[in-house]
Amino acid sequence: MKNTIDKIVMDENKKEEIRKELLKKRTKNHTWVKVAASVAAVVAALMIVPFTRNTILQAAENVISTFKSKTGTEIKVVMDENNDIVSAEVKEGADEYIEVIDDRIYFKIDGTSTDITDQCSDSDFFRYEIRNDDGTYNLIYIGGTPSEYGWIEIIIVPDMNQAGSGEDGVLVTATISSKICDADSPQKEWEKKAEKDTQEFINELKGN
Amino acid sequence: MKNEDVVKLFDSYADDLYRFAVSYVGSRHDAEDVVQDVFLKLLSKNLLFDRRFEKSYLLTITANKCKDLLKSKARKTSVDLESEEWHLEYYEGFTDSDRAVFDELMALPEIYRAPIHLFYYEGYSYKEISRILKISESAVAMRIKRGKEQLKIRLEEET
Repeated sequence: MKNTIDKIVMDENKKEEIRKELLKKRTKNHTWVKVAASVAAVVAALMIVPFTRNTILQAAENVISTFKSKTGTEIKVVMDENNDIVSAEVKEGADEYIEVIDDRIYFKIDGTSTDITDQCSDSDFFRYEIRNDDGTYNLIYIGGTPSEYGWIEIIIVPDMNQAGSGEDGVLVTATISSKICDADSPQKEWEKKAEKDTQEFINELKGN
Repeated sequence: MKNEDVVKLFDSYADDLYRFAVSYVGSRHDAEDVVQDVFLKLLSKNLLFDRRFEKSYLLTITANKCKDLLKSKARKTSVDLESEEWHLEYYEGFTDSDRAVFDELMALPEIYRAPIHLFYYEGYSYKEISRILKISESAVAMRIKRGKEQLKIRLEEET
């Protein structure tokens, strides 16, 4: 049977047609996301940001957690019984945290707009912290200049081990604005500082 | 995920997903469409997944697409899918023996074909197959057992 099935291969012309289709298709690429189940991965992986979470158990094995940010972005993380992340699905939100008007950077949240230009540069960030009712935290970092800015939003779920995630019992996910979402581009100084700030925040949470 | 990354995944897994789709939906043309849809979905939904599980994840998306396609075809045509003539779509290099095996595989009900493919060809465990097909492990075991029995009888009759 194996020998027979081995001979079932897709037509090369069709493959080439699909390759071309995949390469020409434009992606919004608004959100670049990686998910880390342990704190150790925070520095290496930048992640997504939720505001509310809703954790359910599926088939007594997989844990599905859904997160939503205020920009409308939604991420669904599926973990197996070993706490390994099986998949992460992201639905992009329609909103942005940043608006640039007359060469000034404005931070928009909850219907407010704040001029943060003087707090942002290639080496420094503006930081906004939210503690949610469910015990989760959102850290929003904005850095860069009016012509080259970006934001990183981190969510920290301190008790995620109860839902079956992460040896450290902390789930950290993040979403990153399209301006800095290219994984191949070098990290800017403010991004490195933001990661360090996140790590310190987590260490404090853990009492280290 | 970047377009180039998706193309790399496509080059790695296109044939595996295609074989699975053929065993699931039975039609060469439909299987091609399914595989194309799987990778377009990766781009449009900005999906990321743990690289350790990428193949089983892609097979899961493929299974979902196959299921949707069969449902849609059944709705549109009211055709008994099991009665379609699979033997019209042989592949290059098929010997008479291959044709016979392929005919009998495709003659199995769809609910048996997919788990049998994943178990005997891909080598997945019952547990892994239950995740991919979103059915219980006992259902996987049952379908493989019954499918295998039917296949054995058919192949014995053939010889």
